Amino acid sequence: MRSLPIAIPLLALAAMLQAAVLTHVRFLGGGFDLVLVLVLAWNLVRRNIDGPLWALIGGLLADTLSGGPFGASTLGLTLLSLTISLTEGRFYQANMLVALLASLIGTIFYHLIYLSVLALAGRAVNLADALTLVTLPSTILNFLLMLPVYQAAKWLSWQIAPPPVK
Amino acid sequence: MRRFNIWSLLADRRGLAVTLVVLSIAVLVLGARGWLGPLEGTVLAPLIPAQTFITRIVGAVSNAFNAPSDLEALRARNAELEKQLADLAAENVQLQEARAQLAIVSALLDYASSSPERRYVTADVVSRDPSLFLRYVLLNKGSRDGLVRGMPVVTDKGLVGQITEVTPNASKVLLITDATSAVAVRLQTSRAEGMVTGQQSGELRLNFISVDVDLKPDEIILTSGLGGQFPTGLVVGRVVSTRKRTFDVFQEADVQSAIDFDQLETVLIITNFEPPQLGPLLGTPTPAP
Repeated sequence: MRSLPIAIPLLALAAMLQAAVLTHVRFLGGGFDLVLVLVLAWNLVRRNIDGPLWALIGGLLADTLSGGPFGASTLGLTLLSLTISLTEGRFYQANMLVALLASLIGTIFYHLIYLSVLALAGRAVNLADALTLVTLPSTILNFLLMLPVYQAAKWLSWQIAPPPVK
Repeated sequence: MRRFNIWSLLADRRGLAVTLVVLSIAVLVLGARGWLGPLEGTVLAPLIPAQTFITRIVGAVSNAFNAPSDLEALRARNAELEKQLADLAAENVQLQEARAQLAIVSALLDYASSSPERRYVTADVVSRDPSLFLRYVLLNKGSRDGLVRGMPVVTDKGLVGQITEVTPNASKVLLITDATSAVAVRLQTSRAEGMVTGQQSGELRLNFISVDVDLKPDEIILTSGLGGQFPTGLVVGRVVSTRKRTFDVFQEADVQSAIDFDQLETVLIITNFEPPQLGPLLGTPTPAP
């Protein structure tokens, strides 16, 4: 929980940058998702309790700035965090390759949940269009974004709680 | 017997994740019922000034970077605009004549239907929807400025969308390019009626135009006012290309709006548009034969 005072301003800044800046950067129909990648990276780096809380805060902030169903991003990110927590122990230590792979799978997973919520909320969702026009290009962009974000998350994690010297 | 302890559940990472997922579902349900509006407004209140600041900084930096490379394009554009100005000056003379005639017709129309003048509130776009699947913009004006849900949003180039959510100092606008947006329209020349819908790709498509209608590129599309969602006569866009198959009942067309939705900065909200109340009509009993 030590990262909580940092989580709120950092995720708020990420959400605002996402809404003001990154929405202008489009590759085909896809785009960067800074909040998703940041939450994903933090959950991989911090093998402790604050990962899910980052997911909750990031989701609520993204939902606040969005016109979609309130809670859609929150549910997507917390479910993603829960899924990562289930893999705990299977990887001895999260490394860059795991993070990059997680960015690909995480984007698809998150988008599928988000689209499901949109459909449940009564919006017409064309799954084929959404996955090919938005999700596919977004996985590539989030893959690229994960490179610096993961390093930054690792650095920040060390500043908050340096690993014990053996 | 071991007692259930909420704190030990929360201390476990997996337990916390499960709790938060349940909490997220609760948020989703409460949000769907509209009970989180005040909370959303409270969270949005401090974000709006920060978001406005970030948007201005980004705009300034973007302009600084783009200025030198745009110089050549600007010269060409200037020459093009000068030519347009000359054309418009000639057209202006004709329009002044037409306006004089229109004033007479308008006076007659006013006599028949006393439609009030539109009133506008200007607002700045402070952010776009962070979700890649949705096309909303966030405005820096809200209920304090007299905005309410359902008000049409326009620019000088045409229809932008409609307000879907309002907090005291902000409002969310569903753009006409969103995949769930549908606008009842009328073609300016043929007067045929149809529907312009948004696509996942952010493009606009004209549907439900009978194959008998002679639909041509560059035809202007206006709101028809049917359904009471928007006032009549707002420019939606123009026809770019058409698709017609003989065995189909309807033809469709790609539509281009004059608005660059990715570069929206300032919009106008029509504050005195009142959608017709159809509720009482629905309860009207059918007369006996």
